Amino acid sequence: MKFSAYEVVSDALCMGERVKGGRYKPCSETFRYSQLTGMLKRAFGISEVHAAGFLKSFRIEYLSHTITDRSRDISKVPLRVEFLTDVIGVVYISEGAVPKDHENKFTLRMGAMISKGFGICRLKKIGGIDVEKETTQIGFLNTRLPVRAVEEGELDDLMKDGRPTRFLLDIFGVRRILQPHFGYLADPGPDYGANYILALFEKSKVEAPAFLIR
Amino acid sequence: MADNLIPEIHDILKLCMSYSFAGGRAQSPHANPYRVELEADTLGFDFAGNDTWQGILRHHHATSFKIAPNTPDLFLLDMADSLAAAISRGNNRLRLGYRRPFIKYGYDDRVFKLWKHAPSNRQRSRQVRPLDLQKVFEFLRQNPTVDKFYNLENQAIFERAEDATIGANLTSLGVHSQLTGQLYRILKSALYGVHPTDLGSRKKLTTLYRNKLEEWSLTISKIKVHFPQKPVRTRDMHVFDKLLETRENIEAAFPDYVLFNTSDEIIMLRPPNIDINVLRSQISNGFWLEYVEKTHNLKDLQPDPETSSGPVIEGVVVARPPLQINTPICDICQQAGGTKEWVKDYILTMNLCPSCRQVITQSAWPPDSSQICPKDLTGLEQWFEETIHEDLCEACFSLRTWGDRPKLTKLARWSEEKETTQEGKAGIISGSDKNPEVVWVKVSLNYSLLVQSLSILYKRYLSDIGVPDPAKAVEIRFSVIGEFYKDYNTFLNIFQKRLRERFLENMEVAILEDFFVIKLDRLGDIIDILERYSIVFRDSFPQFMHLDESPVRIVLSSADARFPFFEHWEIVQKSKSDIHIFLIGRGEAKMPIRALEEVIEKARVGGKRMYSRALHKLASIAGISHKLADIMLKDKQDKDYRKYREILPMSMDFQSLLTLAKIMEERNEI
Repeated sequence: MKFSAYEVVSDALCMGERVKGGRYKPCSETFRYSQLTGMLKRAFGISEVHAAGFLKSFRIEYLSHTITDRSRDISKVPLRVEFLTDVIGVVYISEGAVPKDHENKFTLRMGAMISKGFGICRLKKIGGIDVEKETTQIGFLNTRLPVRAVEEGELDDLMKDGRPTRFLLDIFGVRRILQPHFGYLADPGPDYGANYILALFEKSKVEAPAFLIR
Repeated sequence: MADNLIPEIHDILKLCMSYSFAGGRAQSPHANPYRVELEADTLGFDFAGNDTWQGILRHHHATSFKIAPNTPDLFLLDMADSLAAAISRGNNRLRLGYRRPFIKYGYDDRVFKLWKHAPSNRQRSRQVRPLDLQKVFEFLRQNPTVDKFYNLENQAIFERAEDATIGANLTSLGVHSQLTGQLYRILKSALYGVHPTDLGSRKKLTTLYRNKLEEWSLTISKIKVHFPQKPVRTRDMHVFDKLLETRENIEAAFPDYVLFNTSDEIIMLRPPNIDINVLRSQISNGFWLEYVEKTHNLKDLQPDPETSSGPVIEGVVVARPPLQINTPICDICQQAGGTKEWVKDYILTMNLCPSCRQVITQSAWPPDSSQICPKDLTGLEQWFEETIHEDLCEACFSLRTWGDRPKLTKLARWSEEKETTQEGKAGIISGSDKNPEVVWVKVSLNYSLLVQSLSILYKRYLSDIGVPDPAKAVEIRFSVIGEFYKDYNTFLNIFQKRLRERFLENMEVAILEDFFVIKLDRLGDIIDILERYSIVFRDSFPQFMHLDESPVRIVLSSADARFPFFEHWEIVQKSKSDIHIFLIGRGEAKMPIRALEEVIEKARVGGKRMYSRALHKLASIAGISHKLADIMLKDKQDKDYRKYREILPMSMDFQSLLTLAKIMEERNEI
């Protein structure tokens, strides 16, 4: 699989996680496969895309945000929202997914609080990689990737011997999972009945191409 | 006396003063077991058929002991005793440069603690031998338990060095005995054994011993306990009770395999035929174990799987996760479906009348209180104000409802109260919208760094006593690490006590033995915490202050009391320095332990105020521009330039210096 590499720059980004305790919304400090591919599919109307990415630098800030429940005309308990500013990151998008006329440079909106001006991301192409030609190294994953265990026994093999699923190997070139750190990524279906699918999170220790290693 | 062999008691004769056997010159009973056996007979003590007695007499195969292991169990005891010794036995004693090093270097019965004692101040010829042979015989006749043995003569066993030779007196007989017991049972559970007919001549025995050291192996594992929960509110802090319970369950299930532990890390030694996944039955609620391990033959057994040679095995012990979760997902752990609705499902666990139960079950939360009977309404009213909806999985729901009452009542109160501020010289008290500031304090121990640090200190010790090739002689074994963990736990207790004496009601109950939360009246109270840490650290581990990095570290993370707890937990896991202070959203400071006393001195009330003034000026300018402050720091024309130059060598970077200035500013030192 070949990927185009893009530098991502954003002034303020809120890649929110689930609200905790009804009063705190933490922010992911890496790009998530589901978020990147969902954003690209919506932006370009494409159905087939793979993507991974990580943040190179950012600052963490907080704001208090009161959500109004319009149906009951009440304000809920103030929510403390974590967000990132001065964000610079790198995103790898499967080659050919971005339309030709946007191939070198484009702008997208990503994450939460877009109506408040958050999430404007400017992407500029900086190169490309071929997963099959990349040398691998052992380290901690810098992004969140779905496991996609489709075939019988794939998850058992991963847990027992660290063998990657076909998806992780073929698409991202992950060779071995030494210490998986499991989590779940939202997987919005066509009817918006979002399910969550098993994923490797950023503290997983893996053998993978360097662009996936922290 | 029990018939079964109690391996822990094998070295009791080391507590014995020299004895004149048959009226001859005084000799060490431990070095002359065959004479001890004769003396017991002479004095009319009959220990025939007693395994522990045989263990005391026959746990050495070296020729100097005259009698040797003559059963498979005694062979294992000999092996366990060797593995639990401070330094390698047999020919390896030549590593100290001489066949009989105690003649060259002398002896000292007291333990030389590498982390505490300076080689230049070492003492010699002190004796800790409170028993005489008659007392030993009397004691053994009383059918002693292991605990009785440890408590002999005010626990003298923990004062007496296992090997009194200077250069080898690194661990106590007490720690060595505990470890020997564990290793003996580990070897037995590995089904390691020899045939009685193999235990013939001394030469045959020595060869057998050497072969088994090469042939038999054990697996050393470093295991870290993780939890997926991300608690924000105090009611979810039972996750730490669960952490403690998980660790205790593992210890209870495998008491001999667990050698050492901290609050969330376990060092385990087990037979290689026992798979690490045997621990899976001990974990629940989404908890998982991350491990690094290595299998060694007994000859090359090393305490740290990460730094010893050869390939390591890494992995996790975790319950099989579902491939997919249908919405909603649990809000706390995000590892399972949120099948429970908080607070509704919690209320339904209460004893309600059938009619109220039906109303609550069928309506959205909160239900119409007019439909609740007066009897149930009394207990439920407070819950009707809870309008935050949370989806919880079974595991997180059970953790939240674990126990009768919230554990951290003070923290819960602080997160609801508003700060009181004192303004102006008139001392007008007024309220503010801010919650009070708290600081989370976590002390941690880096195991790999501990092994490295002890190696460095041991090399210094050997060098100081004149061992010809100290680098070659250095080896850190389990017994020395065991001795250290004992002191480390004492250190944690004293530190906690000192904090409690200072902060009284402003300190919450300990969340873990190494994890505390304190309400700060002012940010400058952090200096008080560091001051106590510094004093206790110097008393406990003064030799670590001479190292580049200390294996014992402290992290402080400060924010207002409502700041989500799990963010603090993430931060305290990231310790990058001996001392690491995070003022969330305001900066961080890192410093080595060796600089701490100087930092405190410069921040102290009535201390060198000129430094605090200079730092304050720097902090004020940094408030306008970090760049400007950086320029000022390097400007030789600045009148405070000299002071900055004196502060900077305290091994702190610019960011750390500014954070320190912020702490001091709120200490009203300026």
